[in-house]
Amino acid sequence: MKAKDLATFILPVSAAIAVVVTALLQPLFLTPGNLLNVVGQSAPLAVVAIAQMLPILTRGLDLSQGGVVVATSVVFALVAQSFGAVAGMWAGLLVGAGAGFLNGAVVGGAKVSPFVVTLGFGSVLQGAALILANGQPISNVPEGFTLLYYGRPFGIPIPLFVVAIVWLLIWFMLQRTTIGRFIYAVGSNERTAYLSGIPTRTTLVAAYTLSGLLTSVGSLLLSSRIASGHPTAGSDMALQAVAAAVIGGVSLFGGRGGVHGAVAGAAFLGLLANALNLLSVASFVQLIAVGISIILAVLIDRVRFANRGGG
Amino acid sequence: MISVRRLSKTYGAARVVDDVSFDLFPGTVTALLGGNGAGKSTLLKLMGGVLAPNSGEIRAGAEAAPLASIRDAMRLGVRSAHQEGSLIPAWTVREHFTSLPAGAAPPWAQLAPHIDPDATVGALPQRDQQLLEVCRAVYGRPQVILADEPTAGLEPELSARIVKALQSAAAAGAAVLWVTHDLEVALASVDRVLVLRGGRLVRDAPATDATVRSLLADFTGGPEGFDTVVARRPSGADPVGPCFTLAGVALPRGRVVGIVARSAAGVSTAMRRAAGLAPTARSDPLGFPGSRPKIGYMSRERSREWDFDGQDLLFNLTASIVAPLARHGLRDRPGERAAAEALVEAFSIVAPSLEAGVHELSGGNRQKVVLARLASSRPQIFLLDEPFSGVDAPTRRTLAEQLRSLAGEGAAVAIYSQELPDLIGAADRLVAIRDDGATIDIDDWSHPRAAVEEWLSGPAGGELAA
Repeated sequence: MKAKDLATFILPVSAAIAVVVTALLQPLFLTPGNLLNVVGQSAPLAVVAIAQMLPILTRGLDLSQGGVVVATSVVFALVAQSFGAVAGMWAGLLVGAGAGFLNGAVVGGAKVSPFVVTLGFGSVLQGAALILANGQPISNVPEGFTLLYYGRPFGIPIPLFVVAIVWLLIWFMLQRTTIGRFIYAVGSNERTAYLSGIPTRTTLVAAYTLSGLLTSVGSLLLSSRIASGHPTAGSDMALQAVAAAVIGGVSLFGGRGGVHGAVAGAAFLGLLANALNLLSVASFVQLIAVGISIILAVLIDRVRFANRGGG
Repeated sequence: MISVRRLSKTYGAARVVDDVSFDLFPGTVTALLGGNGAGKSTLLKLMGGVLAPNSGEIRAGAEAAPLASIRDAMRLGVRSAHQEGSLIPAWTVREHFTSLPAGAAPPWAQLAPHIDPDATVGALPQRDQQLLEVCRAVYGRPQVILADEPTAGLEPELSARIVKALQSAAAAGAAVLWVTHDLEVALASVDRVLVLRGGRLVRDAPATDATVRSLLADFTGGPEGFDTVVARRPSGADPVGPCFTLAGVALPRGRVVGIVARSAAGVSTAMRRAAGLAPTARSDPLGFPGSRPKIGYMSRERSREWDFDGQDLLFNLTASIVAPLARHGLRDRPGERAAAEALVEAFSIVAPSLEAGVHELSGGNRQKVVLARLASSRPQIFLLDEPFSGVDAPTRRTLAEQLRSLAGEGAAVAIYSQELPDLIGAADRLVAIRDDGATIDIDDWSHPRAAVEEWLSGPAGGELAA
């Protein structure tokens, strides 16, 4: 019991420690400008982490996110060159939704391990993105597109609006709609869900499709930030998104956790990256920090739900 | 020599092995008998050091050394032949037997002389693997041999060979414990019988004192209250019209049909097929014309197929009605809560609140939750696989009443159980299935138990009563 209670407090406590230590060492950290910076930088990850949370809630995983991010970015840039930014964004979103649908169809229909299916599919998408982009970033995207990331109506960055809308919509879906309930049911026990008359396949397809679509939204934020269609930038986002979700208390055993946790986990990772930057720690060290965070989070998850699904 | 003292093993609230004590002596073959889920396999795993008991101890060998792990078991000469193969598929037959003495007859010469010693084990047919499993257990003069259904599914000739191998291992000084469902063969070939029921040892006697009928009586519970059960057969004939069938048994609407079978007669599998959990070639596993009927299936896999793990009572009760209550995909949360409260009331579920985790509930209450959830979607047919095991007597009575009232509302209810007294208490109609697949409708409600046992102990595959 004590270990479980302790586990619940680890995220807020370690976030607080990171904030205090960094603020003491680097006064710039707690300035409004920097904090707004953190929020903006965390936004793509926050959206992708919310996306990742959906398959995890069904006791699955979406490791194709890296591929979806780069494929969306490249397809967006190619279409935007000829037909404008709006058409490019629609095309990018279509790539994500389509990829997610295929993931869901294979995972739900053929009962194959989501780990393998999405990992394989992610690799396909990464290769496709490199081929389409000829291995080079596509930089001549319409100028107005960068507003998606850098625009600040009422002084508030647009990425913050995007995160808020996605956050609210997914919260509403999970709490107030039948499909949200089905996602938790399938993740808690797919057999019981099936025996209770819940359409488990449809639920899985929906969860993965939505996951792909939201991953594309995150990718567009990222593309706007770097003002290009990039065939490799963000290809490591699946792991970061899993880390964010699990750090935020979304259980890898399925059926536990929610959208607030995924956002909090992404914010924590953004904060950590920013703090390490300000303290002039090499960016390579950040890889190690993220890796350790995810391993710790998974261990905590194990402790919290140690008594579940045993046998 | 191996001694078991006050051994108990629990999984959650279920006592799978309950305070069991006995000794096995060198030179004897003992049969371990009991119905499905009586705890036989668990007891064997405890004795082989595969599982750790919650209390009690096992001692083996000349010095009566404690046995608490697989390593201890190996050192003390305790060998197991498991149901699920302990052979290594990628190894050859020969590689499974270390340090074969030169010139000596290979260990498989007696049991499976046809086997190619250089064949990869994984490529051998199932029955050859089963024979090898036994070869391995009897090889090298073990002190104790624990064999879990080594003859299951084998033709009589091969079974006889295995029995002979176990007997000659005993003659060479081993203490043999043999789990089997084949009561006639067991009585004809062992020295002593142990019978487990609900994890407790209910008989420990020389084989010569037992009969098939008395063993079956042990399996299904004490005689108390049996023949005094008031047969509540509904008056009048069964309703006419199309009727579901399950494993050859007709299931009319408005009736509770109790199915009893002497051994795994495919009823469980038939139920799983009907529920869509096991593959089936038939599009209508219940033999029902027209669209697929709505089925409420309660699995015997209580730990794996009953609950939405980690969710609260409200979630578990309403999972089937979230969609029907919703409008345009939006949940009707007050409606769900009201429905859950009604189900708690109707099924007399005892819980601190609707927000209590389902795992905080007792086994009996969890069972009521499952039944309540199934009933909430108003299925046309209920299929229940061993619903009485692991719950206390009052809960069993409540369950029986609830099933009867569900049938009263027009559903067809089928219960498959080895617990004959409960079945008699719950069913309008009793059907017994023999090993040869022959079924009988029990008509004699003045002595239903005697009628069932007489039918079941009849010759398997023998002449059928027309």
